[in-house]
Amino acid sequence: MTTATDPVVLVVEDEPQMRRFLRASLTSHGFRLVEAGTAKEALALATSGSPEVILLDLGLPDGDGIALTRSLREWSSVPIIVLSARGRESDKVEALDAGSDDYLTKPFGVNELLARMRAALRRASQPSGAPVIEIGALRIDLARREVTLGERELHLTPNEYRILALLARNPGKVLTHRQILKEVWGPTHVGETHYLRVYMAQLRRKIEADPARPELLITEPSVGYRMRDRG
Amino acid sequence: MRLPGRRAPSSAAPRPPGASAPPRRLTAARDYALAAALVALATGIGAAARMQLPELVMLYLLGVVIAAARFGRGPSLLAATLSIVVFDFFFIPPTFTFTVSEDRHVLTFAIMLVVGLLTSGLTLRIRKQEQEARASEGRIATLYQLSRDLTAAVDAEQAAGATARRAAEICAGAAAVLVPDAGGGLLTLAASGPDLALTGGEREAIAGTLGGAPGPGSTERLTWVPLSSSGELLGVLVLAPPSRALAREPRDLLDAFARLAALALERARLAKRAEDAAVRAHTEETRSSLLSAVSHDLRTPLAAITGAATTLRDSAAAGSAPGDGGVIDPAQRADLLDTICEEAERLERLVRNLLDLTRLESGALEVQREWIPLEEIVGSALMRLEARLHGRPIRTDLPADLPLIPVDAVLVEQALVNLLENAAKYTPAGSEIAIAARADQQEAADSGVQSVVQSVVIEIADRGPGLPPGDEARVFDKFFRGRNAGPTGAGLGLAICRGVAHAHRGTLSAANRSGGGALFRLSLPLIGKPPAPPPDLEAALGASETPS
Repeated sequence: MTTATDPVVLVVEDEPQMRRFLRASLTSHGFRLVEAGTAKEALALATSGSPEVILLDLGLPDGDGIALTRSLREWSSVPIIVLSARGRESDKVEALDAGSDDYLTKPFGVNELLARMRAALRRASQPSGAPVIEIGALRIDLARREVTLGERELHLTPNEYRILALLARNPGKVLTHRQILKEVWGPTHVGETHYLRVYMAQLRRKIEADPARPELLITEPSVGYRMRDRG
Repeated sequence: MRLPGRRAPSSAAPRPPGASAPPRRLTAARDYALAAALVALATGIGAAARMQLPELVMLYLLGVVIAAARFGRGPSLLAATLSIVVFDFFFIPPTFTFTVSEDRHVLTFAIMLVVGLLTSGLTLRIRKQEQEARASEGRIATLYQLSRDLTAAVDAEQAAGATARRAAEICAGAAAVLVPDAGGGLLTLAASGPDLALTGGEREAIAGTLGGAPGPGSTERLTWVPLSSSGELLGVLVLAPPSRALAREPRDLLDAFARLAALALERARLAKRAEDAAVRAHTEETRSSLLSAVSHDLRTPLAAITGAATTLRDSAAAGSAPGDGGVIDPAQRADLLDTICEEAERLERLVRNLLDLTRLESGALEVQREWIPLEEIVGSALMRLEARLHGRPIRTDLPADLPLIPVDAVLVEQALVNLLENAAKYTPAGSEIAIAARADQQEAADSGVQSVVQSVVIEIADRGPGLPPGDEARVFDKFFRGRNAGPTGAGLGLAICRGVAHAHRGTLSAANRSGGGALFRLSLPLIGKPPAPPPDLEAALGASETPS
């Protein structure tokens, strides 16, 4: 049963079956639902309903979800999780670059959805600028720029460190190649995806037990990278 | 009978009948002159040999016969008349006058004239027969060549090409074969000789005469002959010299040509129809086998889901009225829920595979190549399969110095996922699956010293039962299922892998390992120029902050 203190989730989805499924599973897991079938409704409800998280289907009858994301981001930092069909990696990248926080490929299990929503809510509520981030055995001291794995101190190059710190500050959030490249190399290098890939391979060799089976630095094929959220 | 002084041209290469050598007028003048010269020659010989009158008559008659045989009617008549005049003038007393002293000489003249006329008539007839024989020989040779060309032609284009080429030779001009197109117009199928450059009006004129009962036609510039067989118009042969400029003989030949060409066109059309029908039948067969396989594979999970879901719903309803029966215990309930989830996943996999395969096969898929470390792709593939490979020992052997590969990460990841799923499905739980990769180096052709990496080879090996001997290549066929496959799988996974390999211009092969198990080898070529490595790769922490 929902109560007034439960988090509000805005579901932007035009398929009635999907809405029925989301309504049933999310209310039973302690969310209050606000539903929108069009981008216009969604924009109105995002203002009046003050949701704490938005689930957004990219294919809407009155305009695409990416445009909606952009207009929402003009005034709101509410976490947006995109629900998209498979095989549309470029859509996902565009949605993430436009400011959404995460994406889920249909079909998905409700556990996966809940995990992503909780992670998004957690990131939103966390005060940014925590001086130390710990993920499993990995410890990143942002103030001292020190990285340790267990007892061992890791020697990272400046770019390796920046990539790692960027991902670690956003645990569970998918960062696109473009976002990372822009942050680490600057806006003139957003096309040099292979730079990032080479660095990620090096980072994995330093951090992961088996770089071919990463536990922390997760690849989102053709989209970007994500630090596994252990919280 | 061979006539003196005239060699028949070699029968293998008859002179095209339309192309006569020197202009007719000049030839005629020369022939008359030569006939006169023959008479002069006979006179000379007769005078020199001091011949008597009867011998002289024979000599002049010989000249008339030769003139008839060699130059035809006019010159032979000239020879006969001249002979009489000259004979009278030089040899009949009184000589050097045209006076005839004795009446019997007039009779001699008359006999000479009659004999001359008769022989020239006879000779002419023989000559004409000979010419006709030769022409028909040439015609037969030309037709034979055309029919040989047409027999060798495998399609309408080639048949039309041969016809146009031979027709252009015969009429010593330009020729083209036009066929009716779908829109009621005419389409040039083949052309030979100078460009016909048909105007719109000419096309209309040609098309206009082809309706109803098609017949040949002609304009100021063109001649055309319809090509029809079994009462159906198949095309039209158009020639650049107009009909009136053609001798009767090439015109007859063109009619024969048109008949041969029409037959060839019809044959080509029937062959094409048969081929189309065969292709259609094959497509139809593929489609129906796809449909039957897909409908079975779609229905099975749907049936399970429907069954499980309705059981749960009914039992919930029954549960509200105790003692109704139909109530199921919690263990069965959990079982049914698992069934629904598992079958839905299976359905999702199948739909995904079908979509992937359709996109790969239709060529609609664009390969988005990026230079990427293989390790990253292997990592994300293993991650996606985390649940399904649970408890499996996976050995990865990826050399650290493997070059970046230019691939579509999403596609190659899908191929690896399918190969790993396949390995997991056909091997006993707990048996090891190995993923290894190596750079396939080949010595550069020029230097011989420097080696160049041509491709990266990825091998996925298991210790299962291996592939059925002889089926190593067939496993990549659509809907091929291994004997131990059990009820799951539509036989699409490996077909997709092969599609991905081909989309990258690579190869995928399968073999049995020595010591048991199957080995799949995916080879991806390094296409294009690898990107420059990041400039600051080995810089130490705290060094330059803003690399370029």
